[in-house]
Amino acid sequence: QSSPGTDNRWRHVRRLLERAGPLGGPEFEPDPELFSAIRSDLVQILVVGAGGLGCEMLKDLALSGFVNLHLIDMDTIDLSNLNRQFLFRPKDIGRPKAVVAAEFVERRVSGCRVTPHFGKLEDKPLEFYKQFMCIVCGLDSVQARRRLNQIVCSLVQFDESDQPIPTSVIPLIDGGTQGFQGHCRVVRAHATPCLECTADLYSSTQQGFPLCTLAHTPRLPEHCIEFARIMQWPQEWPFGEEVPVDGDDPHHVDWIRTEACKRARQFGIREPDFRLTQGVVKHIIPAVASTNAVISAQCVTEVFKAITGCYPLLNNFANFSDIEGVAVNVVPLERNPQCDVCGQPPPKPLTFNSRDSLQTVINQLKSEHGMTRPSLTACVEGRDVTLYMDLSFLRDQLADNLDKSLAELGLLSNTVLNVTDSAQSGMKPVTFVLNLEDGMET
Amino acid sequence: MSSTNNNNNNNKSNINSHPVGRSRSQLPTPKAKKYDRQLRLWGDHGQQAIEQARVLLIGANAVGTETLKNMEDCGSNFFVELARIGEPRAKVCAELLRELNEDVIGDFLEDRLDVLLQRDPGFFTGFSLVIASGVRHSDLLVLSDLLYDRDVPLIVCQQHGMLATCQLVAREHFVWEAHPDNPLPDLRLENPLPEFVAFCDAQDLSAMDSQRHSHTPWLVILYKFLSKWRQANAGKFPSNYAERQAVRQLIRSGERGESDLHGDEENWRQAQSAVTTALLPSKLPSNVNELFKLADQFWLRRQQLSDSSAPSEDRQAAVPPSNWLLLCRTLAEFYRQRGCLPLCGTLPDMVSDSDRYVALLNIYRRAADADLVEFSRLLRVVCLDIGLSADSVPASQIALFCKNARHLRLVKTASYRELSRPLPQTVARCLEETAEAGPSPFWWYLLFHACDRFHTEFGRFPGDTDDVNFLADAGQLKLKCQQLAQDWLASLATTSAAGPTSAPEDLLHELCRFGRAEVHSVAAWMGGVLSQEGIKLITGQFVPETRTMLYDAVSQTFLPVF
Repeated sequence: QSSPGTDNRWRHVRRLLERAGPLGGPEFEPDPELFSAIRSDLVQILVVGAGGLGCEMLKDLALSGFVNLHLIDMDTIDLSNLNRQFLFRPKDIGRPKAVVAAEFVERRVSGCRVTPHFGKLEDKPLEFYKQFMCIVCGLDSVQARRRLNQIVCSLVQFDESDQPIPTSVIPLIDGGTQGFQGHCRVVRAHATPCLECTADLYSSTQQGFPLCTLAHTPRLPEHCIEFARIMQWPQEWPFGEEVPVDGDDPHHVDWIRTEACKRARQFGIREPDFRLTQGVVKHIIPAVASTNAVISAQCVTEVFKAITGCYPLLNNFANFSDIEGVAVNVVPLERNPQCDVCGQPPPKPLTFNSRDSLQTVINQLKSEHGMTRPSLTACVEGRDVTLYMDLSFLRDQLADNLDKSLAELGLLSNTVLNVTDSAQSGMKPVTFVLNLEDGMET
Repeated sequence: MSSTNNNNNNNKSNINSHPVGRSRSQLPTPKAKKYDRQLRLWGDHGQQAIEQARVLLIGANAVGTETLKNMEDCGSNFFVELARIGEPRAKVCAELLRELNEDVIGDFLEDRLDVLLQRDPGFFTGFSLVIASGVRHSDLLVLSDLLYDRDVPLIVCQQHGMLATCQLVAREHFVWEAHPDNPLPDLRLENPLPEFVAFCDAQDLSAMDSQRHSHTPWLVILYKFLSKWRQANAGKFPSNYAERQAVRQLIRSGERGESDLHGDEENWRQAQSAVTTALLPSKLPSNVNELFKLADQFWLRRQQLSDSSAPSEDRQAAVPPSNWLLLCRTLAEFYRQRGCLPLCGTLPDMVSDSDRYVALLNIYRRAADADLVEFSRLLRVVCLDIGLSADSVPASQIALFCKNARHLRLVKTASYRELSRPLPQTVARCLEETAEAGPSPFWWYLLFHACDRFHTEFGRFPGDTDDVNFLADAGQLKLKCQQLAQDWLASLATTSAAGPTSAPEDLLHELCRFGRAEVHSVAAWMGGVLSQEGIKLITGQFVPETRTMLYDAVSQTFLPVF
C-alpha cells in the first residue's frame, strides 16, 4: 500500500518510529512495522470539540500520520463561527461542525479517515469510548471537561488488588486557551490527577455583577450593559414576547447597547460601543490563532507519545503564555485523595436489568453491601438527582421512586450512584457503578 | 538613509476611541466580525498594522508554512515565499493558504536565496518583517547584514526532529504598548492632584450615613487616612512596609462594620488591601530611563554634527529621528520640567456610588488630558527645533504614547553575525555548566550549527539518508562539533578551563536519528510562537522574546540557550 509519495510524506514520522534513539521512552523499541501499526484499525483517536482548538488538533493529528480519527461536537455552524474557524464556509451554515471539519480534513490529507459525531458526550454509550487508544480535547466549557473526565475515569477497571488495569486506562490529553495563555495536560486516571482532582484550576472568569450595583450604583459601561440585558429586556421584550437575548444577533446587541448608552449618559459614565456590548452579553473570551496552534501542537505531541511510547509523556501540566516574552512552565500536579471521581476506592459494579425497580437496588445494597438505610443520588442528564433518601421527612416524598424501574428514572448503564447510609452518621459516600444487562444506553 | 518606519509609526492609525453614543447604528463590518476575537486583544489600530504589514517568509517548510498560516488567520496580507529551485512547495503552499483565507494576497517566488541576495538586495529591505525558517547559516549572515541596519526585524528558526530553535534579530524595536499583566494604577498619592485633594476634603466620613459610608470609593478613604498619617509624621510619605501597615491600621479604625442593609463595608476592606500597591513610592521606571538616555544621546550627536565644520553632505546624512525617538525626547523634557511622567488617567474599578466614582474618573481624566496638552506642546517645540513640521506625529499616536508612558521600552538584539558567534566566556561557562548535565539547550544549539557545517561539506544533513547506517554520520558530526566549539573558544587564553568540547554521544546519536526530520506537531508549535512574535513586532504591542531559545518537545520545555 505504500507508494514512494507516501513514504516521502511521512518520512519524519518513520524516522521517529523506525530508528533507535538513546533519549526515547524506556520501553520503546523501534520497528519498521510501527508506522503501519499506528495507521491500523487498532489505533483510534477521539478529538472532543470542533471549535478553534479542536479543529487545529484534528488537523495536527492528521498531519502526524494518524488515519482513524473521530470528532465529536454538539454544535452546528453559525454565522459567528465563520470568522475564526478556517474550515467553515458560508455554505456550511446550519451543518454540524464535526461533519464539516471531518470533510475538510479528509479532503486535505489523503488516507485520513475522520468520523464525525454530532451530539453530546453523554449521548454516547460507554462502549463507544472504549474503542479509543487516546482521547484529546479542546473544549471551552468546564462542565463538558468534567463530563469527559468522568467518562474516562469510569472506564477504568480494577484487578483483585484494586489496582487499575493498564489497558483500561485511556490517556486523556486536555488543552485549553484564553487569549495569549493556554495549558496542556496529560491525564492517566489513577496515575496522575484527573481533571476533577484539580477542578479549582478551571474556575470560570465570568463576571457576575451584584444586582444592587446594576440597579442603583452603576459605575462602568459594563454595568449599564448588564442592566439592559438582565432587567430592561425582560420588561420590554423588544423583539417579541418571551424572545430571549441572542448575543449573535446584531440587532439584539444594538438594542442593548442603545439602552446601555442612555443609562450611561444618565450617570455620566462612558458610553459602550458595539464591541464591548457584545463582549459582555456573550461573555466573549478573546482568542487568537497562535495560542490555539501552540496548545494544539503540544497536545498532539503528547498523543503521539502516548500511542507510540517513543518518548516519555509530559508530567503532567504545562502552562503557556506569550504576553511578555514566551514562557512555558511544566508542573507535576498531584492527585487529590478525596477526589469525587478518582479517589479511592474505585466504584463497585451493581448489575441489574433496566426494568428492575429502585427497590430492588436498595434491597441489594442492604443485603450484600452492609447498608441499613441507604440514600442514593445519581447524575442524570448532567444534573445531580436524589433518587431516594431514607430520612424521616423525605422518605414519603420520594417513596414513589421505589417502584419505578431504573429505565423510568433515567438511569443508564455506567451511571455512577453515590450512596450514603443514614444509619451510619458521618459516613463518606460509597460509589457504585450501574451495569445494566439489557444494555439500555439511550 | 532613513530607517524603516512603517512598522513602528502607525501613521495612518486611528486609535479606536469609543465614539460618543449616537442613534446611528454601530453594527460591525464583516471584517470586524471576522476578526472580532483577536481585535479584543490588540485593537483596531493593531489590526490595521497587521493588515498593512508586508511579511516575507523564506523557507516554505513545516515551521515556515505553519507560521504563515497563523499570521494569515490574523489578516496578514502579503506574503512572498522563497523555495529552492525545483521544489513545487512554494506554489502548493501559496494555493493552500489562499484557500484558507480569501482575504489573503499571497505570492510566491522560486529562486535561490543566495542568488537573490546578490542580485536584488533591495527586494528584502522593503518588508516590515522577515521570517527565515531553515535557512543556511551563510545565507543568514548576508541576510541579516542587509536587514539589521535598516531596522527590518528578522526572525530566525531551525528545526531538527523534536527540537527547534528561534531567535529574534532586531537592532531596535520600540514597544508602544507592553500590556503588562498587573500594572500598578497611576494614582499620584505622593503628590496628589489638586482637584482630587479638594474633592476628598469635601467628604466628611464621620458625617456620612451608612449608605454613603459603605459606598465611598477606597481611593478617597485611603487618601484621607494617608493624609492623617502624613500630618502626624512631619509630612513624609510612607517609605517602608511598617509605615504602610500603620496607614492600613488607621483605615481599619475608621471601619464601621455595621450589619444593616448597607453595612457591608467592602470598600473599607478594599482600601486596606490597596495599601500595598497604592502607597509605593513612585520612581522613574528603568526602561523609561533608558529611553531618556537614548534620546539625549541622539540629540547630542545631532547637535555635534550640526556644530561641526563637516561638509554639508555629512550634516544631511544625519538620520531623521523616528516618531518614537521624538516622543521619548519630549518625554524626557516633560520629566525634567515636571518631575513626573504624564498621568495615565485611568482608575481601577472600586466599590462606590455612581456619582463619586464618575467624579473621580473625570478628575483623573482631566488631569491626564491637561498633561497630554502640555506634552503635545513640548513635542511641537522639539519637532520645530530639529527642522521637522510641528505635526509630525499624529495626535492619536501621542495619546497612545502618553497613556503607556510607564511601560514603554526599546527592545534590541545584536546582529545575527554576533549572536551566532557567542562570546568565548559565554561558551566556556555553558560548557562547564553542562559538563555532566546531558541534554541542554546549549549543546543542541551547538549541534545545530555543527549540522550546518556538516551540510556545507557533505551536501546533506547528518542522518538525512535512507541508508540504514544513518549513525555513521555521528562521527563526522562529532568532529564538526568539536571544531566549532574550539572556534568559539579560540580567543580564550585558557581553553583548558572549559568543559568537554564534544557533545555527549547521546545527543549526536539523537540528531542523526532525526536527520533534520520536520515533525509536524513540533513545527506547528514553533509556528504558533513565531506568528505571535511576528505580530508583536508588527504592531509594537506586547514584549517580544529576545533570547536565543530552544523548544524541546520531549521535555516540553522552552529555554534560553545561553
